[in-house]
Amino acid sequence: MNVNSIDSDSSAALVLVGAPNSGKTTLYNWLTASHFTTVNYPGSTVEFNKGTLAARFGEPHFQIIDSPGTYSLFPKSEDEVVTQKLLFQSREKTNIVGVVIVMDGTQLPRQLILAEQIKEAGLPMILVLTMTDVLSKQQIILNKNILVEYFNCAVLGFDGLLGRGLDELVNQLRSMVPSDLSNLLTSVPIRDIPPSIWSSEKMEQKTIECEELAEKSLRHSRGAVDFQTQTAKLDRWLLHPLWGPLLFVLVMTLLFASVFWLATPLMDLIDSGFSYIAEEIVNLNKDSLLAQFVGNGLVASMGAVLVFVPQIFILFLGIGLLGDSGYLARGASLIDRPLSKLGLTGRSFVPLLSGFACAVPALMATRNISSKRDRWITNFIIPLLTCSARLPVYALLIGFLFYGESSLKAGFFLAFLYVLALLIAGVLAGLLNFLMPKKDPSFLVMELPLYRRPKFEGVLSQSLRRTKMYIKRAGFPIFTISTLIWVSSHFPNYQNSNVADRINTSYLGQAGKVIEPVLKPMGVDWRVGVGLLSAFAAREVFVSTLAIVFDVTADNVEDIQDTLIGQMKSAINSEGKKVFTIGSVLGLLVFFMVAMQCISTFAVSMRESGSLLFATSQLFLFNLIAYALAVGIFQLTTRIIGE
Amino acid sequence: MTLLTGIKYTLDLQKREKTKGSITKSDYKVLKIEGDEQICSRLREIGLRSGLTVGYLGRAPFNGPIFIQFKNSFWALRQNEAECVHIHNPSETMASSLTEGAGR
Repeated sequence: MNVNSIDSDSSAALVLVGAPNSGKTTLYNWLTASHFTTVNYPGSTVEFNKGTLAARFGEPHFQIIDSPGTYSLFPKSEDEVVTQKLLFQSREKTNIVGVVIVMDGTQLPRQLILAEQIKEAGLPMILVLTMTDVLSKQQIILNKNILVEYFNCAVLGFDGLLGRGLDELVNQLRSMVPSDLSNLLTSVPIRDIPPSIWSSEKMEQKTIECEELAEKSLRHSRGAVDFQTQTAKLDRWLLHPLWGPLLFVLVMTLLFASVFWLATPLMDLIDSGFSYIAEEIVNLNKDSLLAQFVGNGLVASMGAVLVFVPQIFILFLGIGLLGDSGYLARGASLIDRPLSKLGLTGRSFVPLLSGFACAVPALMATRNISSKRDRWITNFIIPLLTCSARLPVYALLIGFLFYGESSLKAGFFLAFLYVLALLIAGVLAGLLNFLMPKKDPSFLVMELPLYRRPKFEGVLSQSLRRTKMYIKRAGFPIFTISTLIWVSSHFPNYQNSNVADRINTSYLGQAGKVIEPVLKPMGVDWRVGVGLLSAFAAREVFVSTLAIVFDVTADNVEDIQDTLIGQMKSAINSEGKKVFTIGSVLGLLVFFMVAMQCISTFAVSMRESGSLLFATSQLFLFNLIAYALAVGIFQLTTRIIGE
Repeated sequence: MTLLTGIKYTLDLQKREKTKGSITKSDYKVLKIEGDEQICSRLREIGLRSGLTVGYLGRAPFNGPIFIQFKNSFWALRQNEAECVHIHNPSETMASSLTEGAGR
């Protein structure tokens, strides 16, 4: 997804407007066949999506804009401000010729209020009612004519599950777009001023009118499936003061356990697959530098990118299924109170959860947090969560600490590291909450969707899209820097057959030696420094870099890890002391836990906060704390238990 | 009386009467929305208004959000948000619903 400027396209556009959870984005994906660019609203960090009508609908095309979800035209969150600006201040720039109001058909009364406001503003509009499948299951019949008469515009139904009603909708949309674009601005009445804010009396009056209108246009029949009662019954357990939180912990534990159990075999498969390909390529011609570069450089770094895909995908899939079933919103409100003590909100929950897969999508998921301050604090601590890129590093270092001991101990230690990272993030959030002035109020007012069976196909394609986005955003820097590491570890003395010697004199080795004085207090030497430098591409590159600088070659993955640990056990520095001791390895673990080393995270953090200062202060603060902790732990451990 | 105090009142009453289960459904009638302007405005936008009947579903632990239901939709409101929803005295509404039930 490219970020374009707002006036990149001169063709006419229709904008989808609707409340959060109205099914707006589902409709958008159907209309654009999920091909769209994400556009930054000028002067704001909030984005909206802009796409062209999918080719399969034929000519003529027009643009479709997906605005951030809004409850009314009187904005309270950054997202809502963008929608309002789109509709009123920048219509000339975006060529918006009409508004498509998307409403959840099962929540008609309150959703009609937004339509009423847009009607009052005098914008050309049509109404689209989603969730028609749920309506028909409940045997509710919609009488469109009443709405058509009231709003004096077209009203269409749309079933997001199967795409029913799409062709009719596209025809209707076409009729809204003027054929002659040159007199676009004169053919459509322009209003640059948003409607004046409704008084509370007017709002109540309108609410009652909308309720009556909805009552008239929906005809209920007796004896139908009652989703509301079903949901209320389930909530009696799922929101129970005692069972609710217990079930919540259980669900989250299951989610994380499945991420590990299900992903591990897939990850092993990808890992050994790429190792095999790399080896075969090198074996083609052992003396050729090109074969080595393609095999150990390109293919191996490609493997480094793809090895996390199963974990990230499974976590997204789990989050997607929970979200679609309606449970996630309840989980988020269950822990809103503890989170609000740390200056966060229940809405921070899903982004924080995604942070355990990868910080990049997690940072992007914070956009619907209405309070700027809550969003700021959430974004600040996300890089501290244990993303999956840290795992290979943890696996290696924990493997070193518990060499030859039971895997249960190692497992507990890993869990301890996860909890510790959460604690550090929590303390930092609490500190920021204490220090930052409280200006605007923070809301919850969160809708709890009706429980329903998740639409597996929809969730699957959404998870695939998000995983692809991860590969696109994180893949390129990981790939580039891995390649760079390979090149700089082979040159200038690439002909030297003694590998240790070659690395010692390589550009990478020289860079490692330059930073060695800084690393000494951590108890490690330049080779680890090389690893740490390479970890700025992506943390997991640390492991493959160590394997390169310690010249580990083996037939399969487990052997690489075992051989590497063996090499680490015997590695001594220039003063003849051991490089990897309990102290230095513990220090490294904590360093990796806290440090912000990922270029992609930095870039996305800067973009999402709209501030270079924000991202830079994260970078410096986290890395300084990480370094201080690593030095402290090494010095302390060495004094207590010796070297 | 606010929605929050109303709920606490009913819960206490139920406890005293040893009514089984803490999430017994109870209904409240909204009198007015009043308090912090931003919060009230958001509450009105989600369709809350005077005269509406609000059902109580439960609450999160540690004085967390309360869960309510009205007009086919379910919501979580923080306690300070629920403070902005003023209701008719639940004992009155309960009495009227009791007579209603008896009449059926």
